[in-house]
Amino acid sequence: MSAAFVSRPIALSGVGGGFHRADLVFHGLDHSGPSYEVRIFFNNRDANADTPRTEKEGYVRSFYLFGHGGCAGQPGHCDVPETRRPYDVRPQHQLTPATRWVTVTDATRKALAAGGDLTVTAVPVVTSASGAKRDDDEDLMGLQQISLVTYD
Amino acid sequence: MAITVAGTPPAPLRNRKKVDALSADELTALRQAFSAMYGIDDDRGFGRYAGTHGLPLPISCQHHNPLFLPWHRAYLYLFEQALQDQVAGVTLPWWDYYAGDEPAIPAAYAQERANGAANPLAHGPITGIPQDQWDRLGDGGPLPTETNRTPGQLAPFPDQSDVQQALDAPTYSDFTNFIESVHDNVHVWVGGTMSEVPIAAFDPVFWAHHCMIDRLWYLWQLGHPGGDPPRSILNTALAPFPMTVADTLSINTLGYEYAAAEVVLTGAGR
Repeated sequence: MSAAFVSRPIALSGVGGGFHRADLVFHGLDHSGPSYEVRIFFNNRDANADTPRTEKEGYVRSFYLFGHGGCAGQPGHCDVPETRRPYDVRPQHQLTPATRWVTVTDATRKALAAGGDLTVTAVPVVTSASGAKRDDDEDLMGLQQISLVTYD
Repeated sequence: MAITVAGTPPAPLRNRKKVDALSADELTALRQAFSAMYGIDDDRGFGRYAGTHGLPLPISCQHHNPLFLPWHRAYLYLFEQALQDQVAGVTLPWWDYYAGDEPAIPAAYAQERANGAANPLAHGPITGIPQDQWDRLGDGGPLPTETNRTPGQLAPFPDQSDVQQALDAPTYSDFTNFIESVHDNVHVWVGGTMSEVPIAAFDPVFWAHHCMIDRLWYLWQLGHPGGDPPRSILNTALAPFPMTVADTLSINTLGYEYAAAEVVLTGAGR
């Protein structure tokens, strides 16, 4: 089972209730390996791949990431450069970590109405026919951060 | 004063139609075109085009960035040209995700047999992948020689509201984010060969799936005039294709249109 991402509690007191849309933005998603599902739970720090996807358990929704499937090259082939040299006009590396956002307006409104802080747990579940190609405890998503963005 | 315009009039646009609305003749022609490409092992053949997306290296497809839609539009366009090199007039059909009560692979692609023979749209041959490249991927098992599917086993199908959310997106970045999420979900839903990048394009249904994504981009464009990708990428080359992002913005310039169906009326009607 791959590691889940558990956010620090987000203080919702600063989030006004007048928004018409709320998005969770996932920064730095690794897509170099197998395809996977990301299950989003609110206020359930212990959620894992076996947690029922029910509102009672804080399940909000899922999204999927189509994976590159591993590296078919020799060592270093799929390493994403950390910096770019001057005059290097090549496009960014294909495996540059992705940003994906999902809309969670209703769930955010409910969390706001319930009061208190919000903790977001993102649980990755491999969804490739060839199965997991990584160690169970490896960080499949490589998430850098999640942010909650609301729009008035 | 008469003005004479030199040159030939523009050729009519080709219609890409819904898979389920193809006539028997159109479907037969599509199957013939795929079969013909399966039989070619040089750079006009199916293996070359399917392999451009994934293996053999280099993996050229663009995902999870703003080039996703333009790159795949160019890819479809060039593959369709290659199909037409084999059977004149063939166009790629689009998979209407929500045509039935339940999500399903279109019957034209799901049937194992058609016209008394193996249906070339049910499975595609996987060719041209060096064994060492496949082995480096890890525990993917032996290199398959043919595509397979496991619809519905890895994920539920995306809800129609997810597509609508994309179509309602106010900006290109918002649209491509939401529609790529739908795209990723369908890949995983189909399962099997389609569930990962390296061999996904060897499945014939890949092309109908991407045609639907391309159509949805077109529909979004119609509703959002000027909603182009970021200006900073318009001149970006879509390697390995001889096209830039800007070259993909108008499907009419590329010579096609999306239709639900097309009925040709011929002859003297009286």
